[in-house]
Amino acid sequence: MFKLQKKLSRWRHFWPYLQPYKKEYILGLLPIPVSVFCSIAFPWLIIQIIDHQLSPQKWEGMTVWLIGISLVLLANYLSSSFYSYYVQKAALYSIRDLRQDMFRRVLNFPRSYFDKHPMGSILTRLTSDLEAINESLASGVLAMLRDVLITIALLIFLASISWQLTLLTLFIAPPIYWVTRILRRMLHQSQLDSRRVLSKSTGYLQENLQGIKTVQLYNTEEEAQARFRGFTQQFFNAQSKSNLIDASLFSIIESITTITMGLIIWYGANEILTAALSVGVLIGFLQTLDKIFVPVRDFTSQIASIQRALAALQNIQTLYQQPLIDEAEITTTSSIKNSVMQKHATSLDEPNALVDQLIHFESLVFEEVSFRYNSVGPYVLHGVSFTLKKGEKIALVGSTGSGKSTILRLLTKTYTDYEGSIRLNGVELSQIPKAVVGRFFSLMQQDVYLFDESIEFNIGLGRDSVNIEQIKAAANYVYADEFIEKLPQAYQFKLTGNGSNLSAGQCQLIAFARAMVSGCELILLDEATSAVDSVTENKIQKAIDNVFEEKTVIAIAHRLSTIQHSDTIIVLDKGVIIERGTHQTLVARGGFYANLVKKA
Amino acid sequence: MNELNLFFSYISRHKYSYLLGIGCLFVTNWLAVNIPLYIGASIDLLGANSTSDYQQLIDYIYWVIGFAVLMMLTRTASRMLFFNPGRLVEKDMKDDAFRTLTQSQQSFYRSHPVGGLISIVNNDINGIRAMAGVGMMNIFNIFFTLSMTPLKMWQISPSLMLFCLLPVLMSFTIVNYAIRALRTLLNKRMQYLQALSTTTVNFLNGVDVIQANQVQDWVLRKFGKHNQDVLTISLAQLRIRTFIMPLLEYTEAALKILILGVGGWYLLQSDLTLGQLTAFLAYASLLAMPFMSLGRLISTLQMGMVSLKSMGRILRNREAIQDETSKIQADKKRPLMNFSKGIEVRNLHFRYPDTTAKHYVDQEGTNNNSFDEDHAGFALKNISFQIKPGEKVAILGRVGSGKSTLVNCLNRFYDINENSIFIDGVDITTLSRRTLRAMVRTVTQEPFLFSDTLKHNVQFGSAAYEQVDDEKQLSQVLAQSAMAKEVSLFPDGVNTLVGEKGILLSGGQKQRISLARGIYTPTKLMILDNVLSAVDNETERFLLKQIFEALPSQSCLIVSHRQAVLEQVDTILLIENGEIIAQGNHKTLLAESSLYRETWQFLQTDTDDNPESSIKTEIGDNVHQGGGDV
Repeated sequence: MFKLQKKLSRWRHFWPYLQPYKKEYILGLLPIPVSVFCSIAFPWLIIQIIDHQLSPQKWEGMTVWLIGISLVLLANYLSSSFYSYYVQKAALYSIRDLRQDMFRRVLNFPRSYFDKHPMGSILTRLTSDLEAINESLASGVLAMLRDVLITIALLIFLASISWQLTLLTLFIAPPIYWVTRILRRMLHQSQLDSRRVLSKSTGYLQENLQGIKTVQLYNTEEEAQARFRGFTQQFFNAQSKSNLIDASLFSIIESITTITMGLIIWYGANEILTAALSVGVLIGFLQTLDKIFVPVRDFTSQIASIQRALAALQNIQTLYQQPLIDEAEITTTSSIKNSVMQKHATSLDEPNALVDQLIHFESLVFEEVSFRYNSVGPYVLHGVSFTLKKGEKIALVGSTGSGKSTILRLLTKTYTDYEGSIRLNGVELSQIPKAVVGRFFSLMQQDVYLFDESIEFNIGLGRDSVNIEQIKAAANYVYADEFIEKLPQAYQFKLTGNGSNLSAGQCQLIAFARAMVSGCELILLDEATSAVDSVTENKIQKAIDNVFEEKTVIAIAHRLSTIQHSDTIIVLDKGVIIERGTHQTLVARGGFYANLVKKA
Repeated sequence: MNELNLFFSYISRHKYSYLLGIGCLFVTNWLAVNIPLYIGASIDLLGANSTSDYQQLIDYIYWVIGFAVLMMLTRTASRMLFFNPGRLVEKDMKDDAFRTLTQSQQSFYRSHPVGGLISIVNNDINGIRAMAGVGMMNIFNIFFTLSMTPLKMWQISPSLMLFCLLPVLMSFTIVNYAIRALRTLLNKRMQYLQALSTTTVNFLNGVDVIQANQVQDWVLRKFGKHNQDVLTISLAQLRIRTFIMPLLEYTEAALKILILGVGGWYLLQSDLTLGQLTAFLAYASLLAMPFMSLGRLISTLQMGMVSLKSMGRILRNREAIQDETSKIQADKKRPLMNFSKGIEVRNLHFRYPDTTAKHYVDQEGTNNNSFDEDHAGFALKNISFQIKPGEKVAILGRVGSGKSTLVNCLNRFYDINENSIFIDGVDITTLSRRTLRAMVRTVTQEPFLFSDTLKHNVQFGSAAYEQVDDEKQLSQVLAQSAMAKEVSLFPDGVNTLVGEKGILLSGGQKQRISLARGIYTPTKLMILDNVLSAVDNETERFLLKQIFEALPSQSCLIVSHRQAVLEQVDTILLIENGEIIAQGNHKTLLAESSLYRETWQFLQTDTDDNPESSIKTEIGDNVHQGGGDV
């Protein structure tokens, strides 16, 4: 218990989630003394009834005893039910708050977190881990707290009526504890083994079903079947071992209890002969025996369940150690920020000040920018410099891995920690909070993400500043309104499964409209390579032409026309700018770009 | 009761184990009800003064201890004898399900999504195992305890036994009702949790968009709603769990009070001894126990039946497999086919079995879904062509024109009509898929790699897979598919683990490994479905040379729009809207087909030509499904 307390104190920052429900927690703990008292009173009353009424064969007064013992039973039921209800209810509320807060944090994690952590693990934190805490609270902490108190109280009570018999009982308790502990440990190990095999076989099953086409086209069905049989056999072997341990665990306790009963009677027989013990006490002992052994038996499983909860808490804590986007910025840029704050009267914590400064795009300067995704990896950008002024268009060209997308990712602050200097309107990018950067330009991406909501929402994103007219205007601008109007419910048409009820091209147009609705002057365009039907393709082309006429653009370009309309084409190879110029000059030069154009 | 038949066909294989288990259960229960008798008898002997009585008492105690030890053994044995066959049923069923699944055809997978099938094999099997193991055991265990315990109680005092039965039945009814309510809540809660997970995953997928557009608050509100749903249902569950479920436990204690009261009265009337009363107290807990497990048994059986129904959906899909088996037998009698006359397609029409549009199609029909392009519903119409041994053929067409559909008809990934496709004059629908696919090898558009070593991925499907590795052939094939140099740079060479679905590799590498797999085992007709899309032009020329020159006798069908392919093949099939609109070699098509000429001009990408072209020309960045910029 003491160790546990020490361990628990490490989780101090979870306390704010308990705080609001303090009343419920305390209310839940109040009935415990009643419950403990009743648990002792019940066997005591049985002993009294046997010794005072049944043994002397006397009926008067019996009804009083019977009513008394019934009341004790009722009180026990009510107090223990209220105890577990109120504490768990409060815990459920705490867990709800915790989950909400965790998700809020996750939404504000920097991109690098999502690169390193598979989504499944984040989902596990938010669901299974919290469920584990919830469940182990009921079967672990709450049950153990009550069991320990009742067991101690019972032992004191039993010792007071016959210390010899209590000693005899206590003599049995440690072996039960040890036997169950060893068996449970073996069980745990063999269950781990079987779970490992199971996850392997599940993986194999999943892979083969997903690749069923390959499996069948290569005639490998029988080989796959043989391998799968190997997995199920291994699983069976591991499980049989678990079964044996589990079965013996179950029966050993039962038998030891019975054997102890025999021993108690054997000892009691002698004692009763010398009148040192009453029959009632003996029967009372026999009746109480399992009340003591069961908690001893369950103790190990309760400990295991508490350990599960602690492990889950530990997992959850990793979400609290990960700094949020703005927190991360504060640590890396605090020194720069201080100097800027001296210059400006307004605080940088107030994003509005920066919004004012950055509301109209003037210039973007990349100066000797280098970047790598982690401190030991290779550089994906190396000494990249270019300048973009208002109204200009830059096309980024190069093969995969050349660093085109990285440039956009740095601009959107999806990744930070670049070397060199990136300046927006003369302000260093690292000083601008991500929230402000996000409003400063629009990203037209090739990976379209759509909410399972109406088209109106997907374009306007429910922002108060955007009304339906603006949404329609934006859709009109990118030639999306035509197909939207033909949909049932038009702008209220509800998308599902990331837009799977529309064609890929239509989804792209909606994402374009979303990018346009905010009215930003600087557009970051990441052209899609995936094929769409020709009608939509035409619309996309026209939408891009529109954008090119009016806006400042940096484009990762695949379409020839996009590239040709650009003022500057920057050709990247392995993170280095190898050529730059207009389409004509580059073709004339006959270098890498000219080669690319010729080959395609 | 199809489900039960299925169930019994599996458990009957282990009938001896079950029978022995039933025997052990009987002994266990007999011992359990006799122990209280001996304890009761010894209590009656307490306080007796004669030495013979004392001796008798000691004997009784020996009996009790002996019974307890014996019971430990039979209890363990009975659990083993029931649980093991349960596990064996699980294994047998899983094996059978997997066998059926690997041989099920596309038509089956179209109506049964893989996710659901995996869940059946993984999760529903647990319900069936529980039914075959603990469920079967509890049926007999409850039967024995519920017949033996009341019988023993009846023998001691019939009326007291009836008094005991009443509260047990009452609380059982209440608790059973509560269990049912709890199960409904549990299902609902699972649904809510599922919805919460789905929402979370959706939002996490779009976390960049959410952050860039600052819509966190809206997202949190949505999430909060699901979160609240989970809380509400959890509270409803909690109320039942804390207030109603413990009733049975307290019933046991209430029974003891009843026994003390009523039994005490009988004791005073000298109808009952103190020892018998003690025995009754012990029976009280023996009686309450089976009722507790009865509720569990009912839910185990119910869940088992639901699971059996799901499993039946997989296991009953055997007809197709039997058809295949009989065709394999027929193939054995047929003279060995050697592709001497090549493959011929005659008037092939193909329609997807499920033509209900998955996507919403607007009036102009501007839908990107290749499945329902055509108003008549035919994805392929009137296709006729021939590939002679050693001939190289290319298919050219737009996205959604039916190229991949045609490929999937040739290798019978899709079911086609009879008398449409012939190899050596034999209708391929009369052949087993096994025989056909030994002759026709397809390298698919989407390379699928298994989480295994690179070597095993290349050797996949060849006889060498499990046997001694033919290193020479492996390195030759890797060289032919332009992978040799990259493989030599991998940390473990050909033994490098390529990760789940090959995520450690770039798109181009995956395609080339998939190609190496295709050429590892020689075949008669090799189909390459857009396999070269992610490799650069030089590599492409190299690969083509390997495919054409290293294996001159092998026929090839290549889906591609690359110049190099079109110039080198013997025949080009130009497909538009599921029909072959032109057929011939590069020269003749240039002369005869205007569409081919147009397409060819796009592919030439003379930059001053047609700059407003709506057909997209990919420059530089061909490798797009690759590992990104990292």
